[in-house]
Amino acid sequence: MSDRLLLAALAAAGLTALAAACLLGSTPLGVDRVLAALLGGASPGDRIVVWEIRLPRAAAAFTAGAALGASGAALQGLLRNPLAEPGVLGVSATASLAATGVIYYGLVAAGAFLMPIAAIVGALTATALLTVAAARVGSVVTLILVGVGLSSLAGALMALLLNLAPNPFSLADMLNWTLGTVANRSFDDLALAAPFLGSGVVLLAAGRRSLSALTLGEEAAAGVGVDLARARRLVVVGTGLATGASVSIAGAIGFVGIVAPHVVRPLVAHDPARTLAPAALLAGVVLVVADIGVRLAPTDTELRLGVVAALLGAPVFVWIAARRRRSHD
Amino acid sequence: MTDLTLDRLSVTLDGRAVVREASLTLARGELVALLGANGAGKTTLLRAALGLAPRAGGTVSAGGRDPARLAPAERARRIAYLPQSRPVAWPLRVRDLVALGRFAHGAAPGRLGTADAAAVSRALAACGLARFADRPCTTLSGGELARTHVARAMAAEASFLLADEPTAALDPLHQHQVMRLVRNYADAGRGVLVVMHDAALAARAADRLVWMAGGRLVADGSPEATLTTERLAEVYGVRASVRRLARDWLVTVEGAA
Repeated sequence: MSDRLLLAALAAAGLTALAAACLLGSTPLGVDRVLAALLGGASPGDRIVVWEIRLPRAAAAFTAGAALGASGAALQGLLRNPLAEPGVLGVSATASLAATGVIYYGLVAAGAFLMPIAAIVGALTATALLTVAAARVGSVVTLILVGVGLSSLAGALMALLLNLAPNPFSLADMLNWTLGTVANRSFDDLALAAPFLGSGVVLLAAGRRSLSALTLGEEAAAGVGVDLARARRLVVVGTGLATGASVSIAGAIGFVGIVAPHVVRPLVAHDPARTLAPAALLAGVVLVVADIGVRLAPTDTELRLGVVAALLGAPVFVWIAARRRRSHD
Repeated sequence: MTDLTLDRLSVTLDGRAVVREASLTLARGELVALLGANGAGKTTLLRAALGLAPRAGGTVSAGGRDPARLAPAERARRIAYLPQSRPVAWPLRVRDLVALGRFAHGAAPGRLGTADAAAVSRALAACGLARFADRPCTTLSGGELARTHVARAMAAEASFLLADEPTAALDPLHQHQVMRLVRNYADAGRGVLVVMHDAALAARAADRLVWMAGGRLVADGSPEATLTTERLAEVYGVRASVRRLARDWLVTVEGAA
C-alpha cells in the first residue's frame, strides 16, 4: 500500500469515527438532525448536543490520541525500540502529576493556561531526564526500566497528592487526570492546548528524517550526516510538547502510543519516519472509537477512557515485548 | 589538495592518549588497510578524522576542508563511514537500508530523487544485491547483510570511505567478497581506508598497509616493505611466519611473541 493511500484511508476512518461520535450517544440523533446541527440549523438542543458535547469530546479524543501516536512513533524511532512510548517511559505520568499538582494547590484559578503549561513542563522534564539517561546507560532495555521507575515515582507522588487531597471535589478532579478522560471537554480546552501541540508536531516533523537514519544506530547515523544533538533535541522537545498537550486535554492515557505505531509499521516498510503520520491518525481513530464505547457502555459510573485504553493496550504491550527476539537487544 | 590528510592527529580520551601524532595520507584511487591490535586506537583514529571524536591536537583535511568544521551532512557527502558495530533496529528492506546512505543528499527511504535512486541502484548492483533489494534485511545471511552495509556506505558516492572492520565475523569467502567490493570502489577513483586484522587478506587487496600500535602509526608502506615477522611481533605481539606466494601472502601465527 502506498503511503498516500494509507494516509487517505486513515483520514477517512478518522472522519467516519468523528461522524459516528456525533450520531451515537444516550440521546439518539439521526443523520438528518446531526447534519442540520452541524450546518447551524436544527433545534438549539440538537446544536448543543452536537457542537458542545459530542463533537468537542470526539475531537479531544482524536487530538489526544494523535499526539500520543506521533509521540510514541517518534520515541520508538529515537530509542530504536518498539516498546518506547510516553506512557511506558513515564512521560504521561509525570505530565499528569504536574497537572494534578496545579489542581492540588488550587492554581487553576490563577489562569486556565497553567494546566497545559504544567502538563507540558512535566512531560519535558521526563523526556529530558530520559535523554540524559539514554546517553549514559547505552542499553535500551535499561532505559525502559528507567522510564518504568520514573513512571512509578510519578504514580507514587500522585497517590500522595490524592491521599492528601483537601476535599472530595479536588479528589474527583485529580482522579480524572490520573485515569484519563475526555468527558466534558470543550473547544476552549482544545484551543488552549493547540499552540503547544502544533509546535510539538512541527518539531517532530523536522526531526523525522533523522529517525530513519537512526535505524543504523547512532554511530552510523552520525556517519551518514545526522546531526545527533539536533535530532535528539527535536524529538525530545517535540514529544514533550505533544504529550504534554495530550495530557492537558485528556489526562494520562497509556499504550495507544505503542499500539498504533506497531500496527502501521509494516504498512510503511518499517521506516520510522513514515510511521509518524499514520500512527498519529490511527491513534486518534482508536481513541475516538474507544470513547464511543465508553459512552455507550451500560455501566452506572462512566468508564474512563484511559482505563479502557490501558485494558486494551497493556496486553498488546506484553505481546510485543514477549515476541521480541533476543538479538534485538 | 584532493587527498584525505591526517597531520600529527592526537586524541585523548579520559586523560589517556589513545591516538598519538598520527600522520597519514589517503589519495583517491587508493585502498589502504589500517592494521593493529585491539585497543591500538584504530577506531578512534577514524572517528577523530571524521570529527566524531574530539581531537587533542593535529589537523585533518579532506579535499582542503577540515571534516570536523563541516556541517554533518556536508562532511558525509565527502567522507562515507562504515562503523564497526552495525545494528539495524527495524526490518527495513535492503533497498531502503542502502538508501539511508543518501541521507546527506536529502534523500529518505521511499523518497529518492533521480540521482539518489540511480546511486542506490549502482550500489546494489556493485554489491550483488539487486535480487535481494526488496527483501527485509532481517532475512539476510551474515554475508549478505555485510554487503548491504558496504552498499549503504558506497551509495553516498563520497570521495572517501572509512570502513571499520567490514570483514569482521565473516567467513573467508565473504571476507574476500567484501575486500573485492572495496577494492573496486577504490579503483573507481575513491580513497578507501579499511580497518582490519587479517594481514594476509589486507596485503592481497590493499595498496598500502598502515600499522598502528599503542596509538602510534609505526609503519606505512607497501605489503612488501612492511609485512614482516618483526612487524607482526611489534603490532600484534605474536610470533608469526610470513611467506610470499605469487600474489598472495601466507601469514602463520605460531603463538605469542
